[in-house]
Amino acid sequence: MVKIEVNYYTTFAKITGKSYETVEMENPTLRELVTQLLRKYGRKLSEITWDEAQGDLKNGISVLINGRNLPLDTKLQSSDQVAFLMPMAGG
Amino acid sequence: MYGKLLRINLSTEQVSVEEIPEWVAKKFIGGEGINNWLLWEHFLKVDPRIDPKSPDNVMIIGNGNLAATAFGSGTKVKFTFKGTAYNMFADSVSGGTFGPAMRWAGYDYIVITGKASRPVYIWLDNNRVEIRDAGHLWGKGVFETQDTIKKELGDHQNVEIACIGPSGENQVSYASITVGGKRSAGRCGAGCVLGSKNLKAIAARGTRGFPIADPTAFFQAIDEYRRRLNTIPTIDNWRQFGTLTAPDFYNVIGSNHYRNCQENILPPDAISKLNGQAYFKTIYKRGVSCSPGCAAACSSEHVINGDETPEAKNWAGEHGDKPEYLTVSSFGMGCDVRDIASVAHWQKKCGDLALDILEIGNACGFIMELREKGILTEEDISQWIGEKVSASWGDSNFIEKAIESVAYQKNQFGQIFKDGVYQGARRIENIKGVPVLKYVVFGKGGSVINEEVRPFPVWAINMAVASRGCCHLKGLSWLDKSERRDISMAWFGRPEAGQGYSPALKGAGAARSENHITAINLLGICVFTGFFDPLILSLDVFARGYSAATGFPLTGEELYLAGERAYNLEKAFNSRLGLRREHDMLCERWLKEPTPHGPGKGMKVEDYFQQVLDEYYDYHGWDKSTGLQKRSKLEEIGLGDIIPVLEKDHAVV
Repeated sequence: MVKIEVNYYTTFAKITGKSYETVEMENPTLRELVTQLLRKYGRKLSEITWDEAQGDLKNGISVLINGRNLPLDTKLQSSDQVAFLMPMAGG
Repeated sequence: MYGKLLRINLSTEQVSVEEIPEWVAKKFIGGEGINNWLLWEHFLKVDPRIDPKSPDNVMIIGNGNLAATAFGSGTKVKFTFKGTAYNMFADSVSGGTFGPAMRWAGYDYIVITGKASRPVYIWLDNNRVEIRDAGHLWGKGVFETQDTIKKELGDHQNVEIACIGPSGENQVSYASITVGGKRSAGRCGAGCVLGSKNLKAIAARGTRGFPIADPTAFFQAIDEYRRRLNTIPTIDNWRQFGTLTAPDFYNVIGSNHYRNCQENILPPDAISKLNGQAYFKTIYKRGVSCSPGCAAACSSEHVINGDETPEAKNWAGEHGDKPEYLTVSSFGMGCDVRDIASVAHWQKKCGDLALDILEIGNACGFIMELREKGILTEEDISQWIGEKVSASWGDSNFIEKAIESVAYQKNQFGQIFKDGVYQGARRIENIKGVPVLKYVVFGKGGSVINEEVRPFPVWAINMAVASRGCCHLKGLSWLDKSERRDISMAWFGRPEAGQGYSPALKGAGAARSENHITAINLLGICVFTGFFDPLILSLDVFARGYSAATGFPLTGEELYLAGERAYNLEKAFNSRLGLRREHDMLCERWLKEPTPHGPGKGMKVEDYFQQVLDEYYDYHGWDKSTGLQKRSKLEEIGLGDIIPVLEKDHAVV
């Protein structure tokens, strides 16, 4: 089992009702973690996050591993930090 | 038919109205494009090397053809001039209500020349133009000025005002114009230029409106724009948080400006007091748009009751607009003031004094770093300010005094920073005999941006080359910070420009972003909504809105080309002033010091700068060795007529 810290920011924190949680899974990929969280939080999360047709995260949504945008088949390690973020630039 | 141009000579008080010529409208479309053409034309008659504070400078105010309509991307009015802050091409943009009032009064563009013999303000009452005495307004802050003008015009409902405060009157080179009381045209010194002309304000009442060429097609274009906007996955988040999305996102990717950019990630106890949640849990009141006709409406209003944060009691009773990210980064992060109410207060204070937030915020963070390093003492700074301050990290009292010192030019501190942080650092070097320029965080022209750029090569290049001096609004690229490989694929057929923390294809990304964002700026709308997602909201969508509004056919491709043409005119203006490749530069901290934290830890700009800059010039079709434009490129984009002018100044190859 690996323990992954998942952080939720801005709208993601509103949808999940929390700013972070620890998820325990057996040797997961990022895709498996995201799938589990989409099941847990239902339509509101999947609507803004998941592109059903492409079977992928929607373009413009960031789910980062330790700050990096990595492929969904990336294996997660214990102590990895996964962040659900609304990306932007400028200000 | 193509837009009304109002010319006002303040020296002679002559006023005239003319039509924008058809060929100009077809070539430059509107907004930033026509403003740039008007600037270029002005400086064919006037030497561009003039002191920008002289009466020979010009202030051009322009709206685009989608401004003040129901299209859905808001209204951004553009002020274009030779800048006092960085002595080069300058434009400043603002939301607010003045631009729409000006357009509804019947004027798309205003060109102001000369200098009034006494303080005045301009009153545009639909098609009537009046130059009125402003002696009684000189010295007053923006809010009092606006109230006074509205009272004497007998209309608090329909009069909208753009005006300067004490900063512009006192010729602070980075003074801004406050528009409609809550929004600012900042950065380059628009307020200083108005002050140099003895022009306190421009008030407009517009109740005439203007026709839409094809209303049915326009409503179809609106529907298409809004339908597409609503499919962007981040749009609802943007409607609530707007630019306050950035503190958290930037803290994860390592793009915040903490303690004068010595650090790029804030500790948890600091970010939790300065992020979007901190604002919404404390002083947020209600959501609003910053200008009429915006379907994204990312702004909001705040009210400070006095008990929301540790420092809120100092500002109890104040209210205003949401502090934007760069206000938070300038004061909250850069100076480590962990108090969102104080940040909101300084945004309002700088609005009232009409002083650029980024420059004064950066000055405060810079001083705090010098104090931390022992280069300056508490006594040094207190002596300059004229009263005891600590100027250590988080010292709100120092920031309050620093803003007033500069705006009112009331003491030595104000004089040191009258012309910005870069010039201030040089003055401190002269006073103290110690090198301090290496601690100033700046880009082109000595201008500042309070965001980390080192791990983001698109941003680093955009800050090194921007036509108005280091600035995010001349590129605003989401490519590398948001790692948008899909945009890179669509633009270049390769993903690398959208892959973070690597220099690959970032020069091309920076150049294309400049052309694209300038294209949006030709329409007088918000670049944030316009550049949210250039794939979902392609330039074709905006071009269809333009075509329906004006009756002149335009494609997205033609709009992009006009954007490129307009940006090339800005480049050409700077080339006439002698700016070359060596002026495309960044500060020592970003060039030589490794990024301290985050996914891009260890990256420094000098490791990739020259190679990415080469690619940037190549993509633009400019000459790599000099940074100048090539004749062949200018001819290709329809600017062959400016070549003889550039040749006279040895500014083309």
